[in-house]
Amino acid sequence: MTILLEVEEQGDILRSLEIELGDHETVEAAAMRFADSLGFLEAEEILEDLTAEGEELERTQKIHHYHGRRWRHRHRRLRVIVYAPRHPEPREFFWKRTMIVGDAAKEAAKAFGYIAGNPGFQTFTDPPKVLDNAKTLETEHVHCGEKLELVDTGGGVYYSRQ
Amino acid sequence: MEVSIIPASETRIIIEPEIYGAQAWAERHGVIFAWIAEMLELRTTLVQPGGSINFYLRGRFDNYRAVAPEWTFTDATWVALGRLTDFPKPITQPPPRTASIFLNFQNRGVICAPFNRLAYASGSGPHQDWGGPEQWLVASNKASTAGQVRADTVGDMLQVIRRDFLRTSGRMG
Repeated sequence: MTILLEVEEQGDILRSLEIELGDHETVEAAAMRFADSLGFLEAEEILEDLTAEGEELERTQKIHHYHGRRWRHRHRRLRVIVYAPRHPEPREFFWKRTMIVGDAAKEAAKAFGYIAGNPGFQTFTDPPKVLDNAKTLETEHVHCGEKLELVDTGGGVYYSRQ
Repeated sequence: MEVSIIPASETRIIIEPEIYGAQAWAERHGVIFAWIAEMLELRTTLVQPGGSINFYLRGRFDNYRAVAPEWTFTDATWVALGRLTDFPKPITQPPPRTASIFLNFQNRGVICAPFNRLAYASGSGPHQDWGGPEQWLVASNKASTAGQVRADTVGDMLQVIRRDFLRTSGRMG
């Protein structure tokens, strides 16, 4: 049967995805398939908040146990739109709130083709702020849907006076 | 090391994709941006947070990318080079903020980074230890490994310069 999964963010449908599943597959197996196809969520996260027509789905149940074929997951990740100074178009990332800023910046930098440096993020606030690479996204008050821009966080270069 | 001269027409082709990215960067940040292709010169105007003074940032890209570009703050006619009065004055901030790349070197303002030709000894800058500006990508890698600044496209250079510009107040001299 065909199951439609809608990924919800603050009441809006962010992504929707249909997959074909056997009647006797479990909800857990379905969540794994969805996670693989979506690429930015883990099956466990999907299972934490998964409903069909308002009914909570149990991981061990077979999918034919439920009448609803339209499933919904409210994601809890931070969706961040990242710009790179070298590229005109942004990229979208879904990070866990507990992710370290520096690790997120490295992942984004790699996606934009940076091969070296000490990447970090600068906000679009006025004035802009360079986030602390050692803290988590949540601690640095990154919110869902926020725009950030990659910036090298390396320091100024001192020189020897000798 | 002897550096071959790259015809300006070739440099324009090499740099064009980077200018495209840098222009998008400038639009995102509301920075006045002009690329004068015939001169291989980039001009941007920056204003400090809460300030009203224009600072004129100029980049010259002859022989790019074989040689590091030349970055400086200049005057409103885009001519002066290294005058302290044209440079913004860094504000010292506690860690994790890092040291500014704007430096007063022998009473001249310098944007002290491997991507700036004027930071090298051959450009009257402080760095003999980086070799020549034709070795700027090697110097950039070394600096980066040491936790120092790295930028190797026009947009990334602008972003790093603006990063530190936003931590300045008034003029250097």
